[in-house]
Order: sequence, then C-alpha cells, then structure tokens
Amino acid sequence: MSERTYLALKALILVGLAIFLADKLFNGTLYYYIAPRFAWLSLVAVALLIALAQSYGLFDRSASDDAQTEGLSPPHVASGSHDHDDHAHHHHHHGLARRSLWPLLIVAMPVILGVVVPARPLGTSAIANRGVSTDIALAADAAGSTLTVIPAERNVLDWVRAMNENPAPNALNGAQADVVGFVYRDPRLADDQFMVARFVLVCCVADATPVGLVVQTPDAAAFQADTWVRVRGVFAQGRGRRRADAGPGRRVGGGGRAAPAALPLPMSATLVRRVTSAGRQVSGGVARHWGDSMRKYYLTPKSPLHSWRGDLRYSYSPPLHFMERGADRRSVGVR
Amino acid sequence: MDLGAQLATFTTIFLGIFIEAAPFLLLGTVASGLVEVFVRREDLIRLMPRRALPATLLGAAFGFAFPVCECGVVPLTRRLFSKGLPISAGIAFLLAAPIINPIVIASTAAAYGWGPMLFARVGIGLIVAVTVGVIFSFNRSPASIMLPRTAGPMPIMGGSGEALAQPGAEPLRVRVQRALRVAADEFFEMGRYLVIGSALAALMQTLVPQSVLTSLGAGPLVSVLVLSALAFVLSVCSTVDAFISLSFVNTFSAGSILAFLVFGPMVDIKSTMMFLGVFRRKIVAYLILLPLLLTTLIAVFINLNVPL
Repeated sequence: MSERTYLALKALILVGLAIFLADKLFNGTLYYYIAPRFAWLSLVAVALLIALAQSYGLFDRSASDDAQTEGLSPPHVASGSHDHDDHAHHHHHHGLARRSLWPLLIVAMPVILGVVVPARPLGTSAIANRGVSTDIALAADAAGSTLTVIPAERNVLDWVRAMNENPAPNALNGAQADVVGFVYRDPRLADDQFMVARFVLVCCVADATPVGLVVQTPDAAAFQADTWVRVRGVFAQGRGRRRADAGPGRRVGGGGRAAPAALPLPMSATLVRRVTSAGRQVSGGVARHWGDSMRKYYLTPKSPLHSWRGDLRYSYSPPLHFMERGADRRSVGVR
Repeated sequence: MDLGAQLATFTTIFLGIFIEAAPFLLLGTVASGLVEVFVRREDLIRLMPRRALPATLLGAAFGFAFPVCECGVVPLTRRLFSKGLPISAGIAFLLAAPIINPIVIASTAAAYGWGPMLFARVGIGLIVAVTVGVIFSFNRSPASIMLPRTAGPMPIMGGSGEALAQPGAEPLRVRVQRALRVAADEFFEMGRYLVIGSALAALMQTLVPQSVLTSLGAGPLVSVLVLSALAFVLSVCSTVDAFISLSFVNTFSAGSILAFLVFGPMVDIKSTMMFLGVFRRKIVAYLILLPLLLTTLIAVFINLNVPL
C-alpha cells in the first residue's frame, strides 16, 4: 500500500467515525449509549474528527501536490525546508515501520461494530449482571425532588423515589401512574406479574443502574421480555408479599386484605407496590442491590456526603422522547 | 443467557464507553499536537526545576493548566517527555491531571459541594501523584521507561524542536495544520488502546456480575479494595465519576469512596491499555501498583480514623 493510500485510509476512518457519531446524534440513538447532557461532547468530537481528517490534506484537490509532499513527510518536518537527513530518518519510521493495517482496523472497530450489530438500548440481559433495584442510593435523599413532579408525569425513577420518600406500605395506594419502560421478568415475580424497567445512568451505559416497578395484570404472560410498553394503572398494596414470606418466585395469596384487582379501576392494569419494610424488598434475593451488606458497617446517613442536590444529573437511557419513536410499543390494557 | 442478547449488551456498553471517552482523547491529542508545535524544548527545560521534588510538584501542578482526563493525558505526557520534561514531573502529571484538572474539580464540586470530599480528593490525588513521581525520579531519562517503539517516530532526545528554531517563520495556519496532523497520527496510535480497553471493560461488565465484586466483603480494607476494583473495571471518565460515586454514599464509607475517586482516574482498564502502548511493561505494573498501594493506605486510614 502506498503512503498516500494509507493516509487516505486514515482520513477515511476519521471521517467515518465523525459520520457515525453525527448520525447517532441526529437520529437520537446516541442516547442509547450516553446521557443526553453529554451529547454536546459528541458534537465536539465530530468537529475535531473532521479537523483531524482534513489535516491529512487529501480533501483539497488544488493542493494535491502539496498533500503528496506533506503526506510523504512526517508532520514536524513537513514544512521545514532544512535538514534533509532528519527528513529521511523520519520517513523511514513513519513510512515503513508503521504502515500496518491492523491498528487502523482497531480504531475503526466502533464503526464496524456499530454497523454490524443493530443499535439497541440495554435490556434484560444487562440486568442479569446488575440486579434490578427499587432502592438505589440515588433514589434516596433526593430532597423533595419527586414531590415537585406531579404524579401523572412521574416516570419509573420518580415513582421509585416516591416510594423511598414514603416508606409507609400504603402511602401510594390508589395513586395513578403512567409510565414507559421495557418488560423485565424477574424469577421472583409471580406468573401474573412483570416489571416495567428503565436504566438510570449518570454518564454512559457503563454505569447504568436498572430500576423497575412491578406490574400485575392477568395477561402479563403476553408481554415478552425487552418489549417496550406503556403502563397506565393504579398503585395497590401487594398481596401479602411481606418480607418474611417473600420467597423466590413464590406467590402468597390472601393476607387478610382485599385483592387489588377488586378495585374499581379505570384501566385494567394494576401497578402493584409490594409491601416493603424499608422500600427495598423488591431488590432482595438474587437481584439485591449490591453493597447492601456493607450498609451496616459503613452507614453514614448524616455525613457531608449527602449534600447532593436535585435530580438533574440523572438521565434515562434511552430518554422518553426517543423511546416513543423507535421502540416496540404496546400498551397494557388500553382499549 | 442467549448469545445474541449478550452481544447486543456488549456492543452497547462498548460503544457507550468509547463514545464517552473519544471526545476527551481527541482533546488530549489536539493538546499534544499544539504542545508539539508551539512549546519549545528549551523553554520547557529552562522552566523545570533541576531538583526532583520541586520538578515533581510543578509537574503535578501542570494538571491545573491542562484540562485533560485519563484518556487525553497519556498522549500529552508522552509528548511532554519528548519535549524534555523530567520523568518525575511527567509521572506526577500523568497521575494528577485526571484528578486536579478544572473540569473534574467542577464536577466533583457539583456532586459533593465545596466540602471535605472535594478537598480530600484533590489533596490525596496530589499526594499520591507526587509520591509516585518522586519514586520514579530515580530513573534517569524518559527513554528508560518508555517503549523503544514509541520513542522512535517522536525522538525523545532532540530533533522535534528543530522546526521551531525560528518561531514565526511560518504562518499560524500552517502551524495549526501541523499540530492537527500530529494529533491525527496520535489519535490512531492511542485510539486503538482506547478501543481495546473499552472492549475489555465492556466484556467484564457483560460477563461478570457486579455482585461478585461487592459480595467479597465489607470492612475498612476490603471495601476500599472493592471500590478500587470497581473503578478499574467500570473505566468511566474521571470527569463524571464523582456523580457515579454518589450512588455509593449510602453503602460505602468515605474512605472507600475516596479510593474510588482517586485511584479510578489514575488507573483503569482503558488507561492501562494506553499505558501499555507507551511505557515498558514493568513500568506499567508500577504505575498500577504504586497508586493502588498509596490510595489504599490513605483510604484505610481515613476509614479507621476520620469520621468524614
């Protein structure tokens, strides 16, 4: 491969990366990967990639001869008119020793993988490694933030926060919810239940934490895992799923309370808030929020660490507006 | 677990880490290109103190001047070495810059407020970086710790500054163009390590449940090691890790979180890959173990003695 072809290939890969990022930025799939509030960084990256690509001097046809010369010489002596020995020396290193293809292929990997593997947000398979949570620490201490969101507009995270802020088991009974998420089937749930789950992320999907609400509906089995659904319903107290008898996958009926299904529901789906002692029962067992056991050792509830304010730093992946467009939508019980 | 879903998860996490890190690597390589073209070797050598400790302190303080995090700092450090920066100063810069740069300070302040966590993070970061830098000052020349391959195209001793013998001899546009060209070559050189590092981190996250790490145990020492290991595996950018660490405040002690905030930016999977592309293997081992040892010591001390 000639030096010029090699440089053209480098420029092509840089442009390819720029197009890849710009495409994701403009069609919204960028938010499958990073939090929306860092999107501007990708825009910076696109600009820089193009600036770097044009530095190979291959786009400028009128300066083609120039580019040829420049291409043959390393950057730091390219325009130096002196020192021919130095020039030759560098040429040796640049031109021959480093003109292998595999480093370029590796840098092109994100584009290749992004084209070959269809873009998908994180789903059920990622939960297996993380454990769905209803008491994530970021849900705690969001001083009053949830209460400023009116119930009809609360998303999954808002509801999880609301539960953490209202530890009484029946505090949310009767509250109406309208949330969007993907179907997650936890082995501990009963046959007529599934979870509507979302990932909460701070920066990129590397730090994504799943959160979820239990949905109870007779046709729960009809919804496949990873399907995106919009769930409208009313919170009701879970059927006797107290901490003491909440075995894996075990369903305890009765419990002395009226079954929530008997409530006069405007919609047929019911979001079941399970009875918890400290709002964390759903995350018990296999999917327990990790680090729970350390709590007793290092719980520092009133330390300066808690000066965290607001909820602006947490975003959903993918954000609502995109999900409505691209996801496989089905509504639970909406006629 | 079916393979297709695993591949999709891997791809998403891999692209997530890469897309988040790529802008910072690009900024780092551009900074490196600008240093190559606009910083004169003689000036840098004149600026640096002769003795090890002051040089190291100054190197660490460079972190304030260059807003680069752990992806961008590797190419920039290598470039500064080629401009005659002493080893100890370069190593201190390499380790301190991801923690004490203005962006990271701002994000840490946003997460924890102007309080003890921020000061502790910066303070411990500086202590560790300077200590490791001083330890490295026993090496004589940068060439002795760097791979000969990387020393090749960018001469460590002499050469690279010669085009600048007459500053102002060439128009600014040409010099900027040259800086961009250097940056582009460097992006390919360092970018592959970022890609491999992101892929490894994504693979770990896809295959190894986090509970494996956290079930290892509690206690003043183990919790520190657990969070250090988590920081290594997560490989998130140091500009945002303060926000991520917020989710640990209820479960982990302040010392352990500080270990996450200090060790994580210095060393993680992707920066290790980039180290391996620049430094000799033995040196990379030191660059991982010395910060780990120091941060662990300090973090355990805090766990035991300071009710932060």
